[in-house]
Amino acid sequence: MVNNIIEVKGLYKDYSQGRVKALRGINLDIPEKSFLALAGPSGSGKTTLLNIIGGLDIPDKGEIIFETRSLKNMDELALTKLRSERIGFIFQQFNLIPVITALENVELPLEILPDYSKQRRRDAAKDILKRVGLEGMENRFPTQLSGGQQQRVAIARALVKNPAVILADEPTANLDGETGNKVVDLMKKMRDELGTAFIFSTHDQRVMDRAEVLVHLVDGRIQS
Amino acid sequence: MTLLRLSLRNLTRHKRRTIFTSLTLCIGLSMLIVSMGFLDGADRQSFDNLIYYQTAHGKAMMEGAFEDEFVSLDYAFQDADKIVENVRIQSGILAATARLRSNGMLISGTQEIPVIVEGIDLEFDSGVFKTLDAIVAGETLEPGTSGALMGEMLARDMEMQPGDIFTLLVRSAPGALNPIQLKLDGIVATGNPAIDRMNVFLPLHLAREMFILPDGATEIAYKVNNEKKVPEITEQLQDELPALNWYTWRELSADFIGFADLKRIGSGIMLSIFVIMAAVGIGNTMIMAIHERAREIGTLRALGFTPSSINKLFLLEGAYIGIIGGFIAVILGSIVVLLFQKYGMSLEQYGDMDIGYPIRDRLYAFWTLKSVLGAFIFGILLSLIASYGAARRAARGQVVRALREGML
Repeated sequence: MVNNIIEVKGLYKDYSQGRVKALRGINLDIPEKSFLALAGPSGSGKTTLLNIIGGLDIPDKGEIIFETRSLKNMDELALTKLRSERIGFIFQQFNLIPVITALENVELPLEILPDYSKQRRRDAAKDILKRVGLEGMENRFPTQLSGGQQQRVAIARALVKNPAVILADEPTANLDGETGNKVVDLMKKMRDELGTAFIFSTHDQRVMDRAEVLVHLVDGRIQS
Repeated sequence: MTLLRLSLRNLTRHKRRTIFTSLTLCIGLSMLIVSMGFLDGADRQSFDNLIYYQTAHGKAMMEGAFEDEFVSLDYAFQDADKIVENVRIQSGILAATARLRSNGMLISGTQEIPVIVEGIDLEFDSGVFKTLDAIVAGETLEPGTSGALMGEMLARDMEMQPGDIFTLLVRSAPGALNPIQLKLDGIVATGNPAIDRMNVFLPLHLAREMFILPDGATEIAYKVNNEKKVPEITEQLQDELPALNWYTWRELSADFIGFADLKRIGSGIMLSIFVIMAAVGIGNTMIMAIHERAREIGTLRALGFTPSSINKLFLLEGAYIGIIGGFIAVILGSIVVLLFQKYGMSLEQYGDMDIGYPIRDRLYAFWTLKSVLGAFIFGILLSLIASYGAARRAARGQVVRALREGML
């Protein structure tokens, strides 16, 4: 039996005092180790859904059950703790911290976790950078890396704490086709090796084709 | 550790901006340090002057004499020499001397001016005061002669030179007016306008004759061997010789010290405005930083950094700017203060103008760790306060908006 890692129940979200209806009754079960793509045009609610699943935004109605716990009952600090321990994020623009090296960027999420000594942090960060194919580039600053390499660092940063799920918002949108494919391949490989679920938004057909589960969003509703 | 490192690295993003902001603070703090150095120097010189020429380490007087604004023989006492001898044998006392002070009228040619007549014991006075070392023209007083010394400003006002003859008119203790003709032996410049403008010094025996107070005095002044023990020794003298009231130099100078403290506070407030303006610059820099880095702040929050960590991150950046600016200011300010401590600043341009301190010729700054450290800590605290608004805004910003729009 496959357990659901996330259950989305009747999710509604409006913006601009109700003028923009971002989500209109989303119901979705996401099993462990999923490789799920949220597809849809701009403004279809993909990013909003990812933000709410990640506890960055609050729905107007409905709830998220994350590993049997409802996010509805969590305060800001509990949500922050959940993110620090169980959820990884990957962003379209990579969002690496430019003043620290690739290795330090990957170490960053571990520094706020208890029980991680300096050496353990360093070892874990080096190991994951090796896994994403960036061995030897640990001491480079983000500006010294290509777009694809930066996104690999971002993937390593999201994976380093062994989260249950990684939420990736348009992870290939800022990359050329070939590099984008490589990034998706890497994400899938990491899912296979580490068992981390990946939920990513995209409007790129080639990326959609590689997803194991494809969820189409149109005007805040699931179409298929 | 992460926050410390990250905030330090963040300062390197816009090096010019960091340097400019730190320098602004540095200039304000340097001015504060230099001004405090001059105030400390002025205090030190003034306190030395008061001790050397006016209050000694302490004085004994009749009850009511210190509180009375007017110099009067009503507060004279007898057996002064015996009391001085008694004081000299007390532990901790280095020297003691008697002085006899009262009012008088100085008459020279057609000019006359009210003065303070002060009889000084030529044998013992130099052990306690430096009045006899402050002669700038003429010569010192000789025992048994009818010579006098007078303050530099008084001599100038009366157009008198050493060797001139003048008349001193005083009222003796029994109440009779008593004129005496004296030769001006020398002119003293103590730097204390109260003395240099008003005082005529005579040998004690002559003053006692004029005031008809054999073995009389209006005060006993003493010098101790350890300045820190002045209050303790004064208390001991009060117990041993209770017929007189004994005061420490700080008690005798309470008005001046209070005034100096007020001036220090006033100057501190004035100069703090410069530092506060610099701190506003830091606040602006931090606001610019949070707007530029909104997306990063959102990312850190998404990674699990708490709002208080974000707050600390920006406060640390502000503190670093304060530390950099403060550190440079400590070095620059200290160099300037130490230079003025060695060479001083000429006061010639002020002439006879009362600058509010008993100081003449040159004003010397004085370096104190307290003032320098105080300015340094003040700079850091102000930087923290200036950064607080921006840091709070960064911590409270909406994560989703920061990530999506790059705005807080």
